[in-house]
Amino acid sequence: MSVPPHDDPAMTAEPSLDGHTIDQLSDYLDADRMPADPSIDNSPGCQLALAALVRLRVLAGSLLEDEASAQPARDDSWIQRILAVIGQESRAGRDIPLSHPSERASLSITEGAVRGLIRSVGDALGTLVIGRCVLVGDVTVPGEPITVAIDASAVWGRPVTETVVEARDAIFSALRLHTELDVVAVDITVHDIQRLADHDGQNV
Amino acid sequence: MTTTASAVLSQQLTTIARSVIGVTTVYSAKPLAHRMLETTIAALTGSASVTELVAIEGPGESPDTITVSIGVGSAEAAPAVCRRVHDAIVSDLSERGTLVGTLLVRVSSVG
Repeated sequence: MSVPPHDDPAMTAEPSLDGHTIDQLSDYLDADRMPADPSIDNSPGCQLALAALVRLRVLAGSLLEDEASAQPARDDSWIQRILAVIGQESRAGRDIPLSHPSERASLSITEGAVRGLIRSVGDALGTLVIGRCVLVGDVTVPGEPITVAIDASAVWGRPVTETVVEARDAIFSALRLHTELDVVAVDITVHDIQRLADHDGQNV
Repeated sequence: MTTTASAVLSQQLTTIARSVIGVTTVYSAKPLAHRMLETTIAALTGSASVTELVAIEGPGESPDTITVSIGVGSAEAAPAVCRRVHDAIVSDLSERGTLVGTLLVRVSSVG
């Protein structure tokens, strides 16, 4: 199945997550989530985005400190693109049905939760940074074949093929456990390879 | 159902949802506009922030719709946790004789 056309989220208007922007959420993280803001703390979209931001910061280390960085030549546009994608894809999106014997029950998992799950599984490997993640197909219809299309950056130091196979297997497993989607394919496209830096700014 | 009674029921159902194994958090299930209005009012009046996480719509002892938004851990299957939350709430409502038209339970985050 073909991957939908690539839309550069960095070029689109900044999305709103329950009234907040990614920049505001980043500031909230910087302030150690204080003072507590219930509109952020009670928002699943904001919490998904915050979790993704934390993982990205751990992975990318000092690269996020763009203005303070002593390495002006470093290109961090890929991080900006991922930040924009996180903002877009943490929104709830479509409701994906979950089965229950009772006809009066209406159970679902949000598309945002599924994308957040995929992102967390990929990021946890430490060898891949998940960018755009699209569920291709009508996820609102039980049994509909679904393809997961992922854009990613690979981390320098490991064969990309091994990284992608490992990520695909982990994502398949997570989706089988946590959803009732009929996932027929997980397509991962690696667009670039990044040398990450540790918190001292040294390449790793 | 009065606003106070609705708030009490919301808090009770929130406690039930939180007690289900596999649930890590209960989010606000109210529409964004409603939440923003509540937050604004709380800020202007200096009152306590929003505490009603489970959304309850409809009058009397038979709400039209109850909506619960949960986060679940990654160890247990999200569909199973979601069903347990549904069944726990239905059991509680049955015991108190409350009829509900539709009960929506939504998994809003995993892990």
